[in-house]
Amino acid sequence: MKDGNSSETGALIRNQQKRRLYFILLSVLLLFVLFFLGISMGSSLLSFSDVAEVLIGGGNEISRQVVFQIRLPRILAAIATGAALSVSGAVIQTVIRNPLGSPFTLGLSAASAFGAAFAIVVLGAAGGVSLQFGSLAQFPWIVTLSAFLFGLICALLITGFARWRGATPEILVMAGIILTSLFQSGTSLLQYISTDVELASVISWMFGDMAKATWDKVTIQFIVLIPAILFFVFNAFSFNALNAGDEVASSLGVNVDRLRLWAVVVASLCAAVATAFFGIIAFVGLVVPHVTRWLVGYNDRVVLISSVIMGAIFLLLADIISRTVVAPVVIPVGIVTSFVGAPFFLFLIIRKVRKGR
Amino acid sequence: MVIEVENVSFGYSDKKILHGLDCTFDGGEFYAVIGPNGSGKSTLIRLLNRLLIPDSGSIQLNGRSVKDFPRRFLAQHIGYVPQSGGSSDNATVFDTILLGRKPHIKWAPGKSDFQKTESIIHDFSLDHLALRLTGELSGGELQRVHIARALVQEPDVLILDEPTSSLDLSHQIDVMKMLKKVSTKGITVIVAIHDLNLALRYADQFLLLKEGRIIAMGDERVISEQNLQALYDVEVQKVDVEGQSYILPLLD
Repeated sequence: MKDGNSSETGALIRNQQKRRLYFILLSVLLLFVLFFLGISMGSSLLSFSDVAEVLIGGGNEISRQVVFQIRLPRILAAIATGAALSVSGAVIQTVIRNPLGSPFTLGLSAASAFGAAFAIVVLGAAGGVSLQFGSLAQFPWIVTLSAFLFGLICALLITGFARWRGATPEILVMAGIILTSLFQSGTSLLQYISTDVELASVISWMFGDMAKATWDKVTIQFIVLIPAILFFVFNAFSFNALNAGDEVASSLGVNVDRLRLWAVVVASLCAAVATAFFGIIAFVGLVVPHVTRWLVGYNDRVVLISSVIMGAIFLLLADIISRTVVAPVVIPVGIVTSFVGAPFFLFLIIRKVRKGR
Repeated sequence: MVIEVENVSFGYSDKKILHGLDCTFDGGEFYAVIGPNGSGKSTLIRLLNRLLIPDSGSIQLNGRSVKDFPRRFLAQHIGYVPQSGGSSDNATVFDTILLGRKPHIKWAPGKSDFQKTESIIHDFSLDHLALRLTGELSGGELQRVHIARALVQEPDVLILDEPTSSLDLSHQIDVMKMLKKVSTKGITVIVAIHDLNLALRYADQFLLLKEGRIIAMGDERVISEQNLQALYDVEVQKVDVEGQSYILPLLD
């Protein structure tokens, strides 16, 4: 290799890295602003200084109650859920090499909804009525647990499929379609045989809603999310290689099938926890990774880190809107994400068509 | 690095592609694998770095079976340029070439990986394209990017599947010159190629493959009129122009 003056490229690359770093720092800053805004806004308005005072251990009893018991768990849950759905969407789009990928493409939301409906209708968790097991209404966790377990079963079926027929993007997408259809028909059947109360419970569960946030849930979310993000970021360079095609990734030393399977498992786990706790929150996992790539380009390390932050920003913003737009009524955040997400996705498609790509 | 192929067979459920091949690729030589479409060229070269696994027989690197090496180790020693695809349209040229450092990187690229990538980008005159997306490049530029990525892997062996097939004449010559230069630095180059004259001009060793069997292997002398007629079922004439041999098909 000859010695050459490569400073031209070096300077370009360092510039690009700087821009990416500034973008990440700016989005973290925006997240902080929204964090404070989210805590201060709501039926009892707190000023930024009230919030800051409470957070450093001061403030009056009422403010402390509002911040620690109501607002903070909700805000942190929105951050964790947005980050989890967005980063798992970004990863799944990469591993199934499909821009329409999201945690829900693999059948996860359908499976979780079925799990919740199963707990409510069959296990009688809606309260009062039960087919076989008497009332389980005294165990509020049973719906969440069942939703999570079925999310997990879905992920295991997907990976089983992939192990059986090869972990190609096509197999994963097809397995996702089969499972979605299967679980949806199961849920429909349960809804058909359910009582009015159960039906209302099932439908109410399906609305993704951050009002269900508690400190326990937030803690579990972060326990799952942080190692998952580390796993994704440490493997980001391998994901980059995967984008170049399976054969090239293999020739660069990536164990393609193993990486793809683990990525699906970890991404599903993140999304399953969020969905089991808060219901179905659509569009975050689909739209946010696209917006992120539009802003930062296609380097997976930058995309994954940025997706975490952008997902948190997106859901936090959606949650603030859901609490304030028709206050004092609080709309489930899932409705807001769908409202905002759909036109945003349309905008991205129009932009793509205009570019002719 | 010496690659020995011993009694290797490979096939898909309904079709056998290779039948008990035996051959050796010595270090530092420039090999051209020649044969008609469907003769098993691509299959053979993809078996060498375990992108495919033989049904029977063995492939050895310096006396050890490729099966015994971790994927990462193979990638540190064998670079591969596929016939088509090979990069994400949305990745920049720099990021695409940097991927070649993957086998040497545990988690994330370090300073020396960036330096090596910058340096090869400069050597390949790609500086002005460093931040362009590969989807925006011409066929010739893209092929240079793919070869640069395989070389930044610092391999002992470079395998290419028809690297000239989608290029115009001048880019075909550029690529072959580039590969010749690579082989003079001691890196074994193995190309599957259709263009006999390019192969004759730049390669040192030739492997003639027909219907999954080796017809001949050796230096320029194996590119004889008889062997080529047996290979392609087309009459050809080998002519000499100023010390360089050329193959002319005899048309009706």
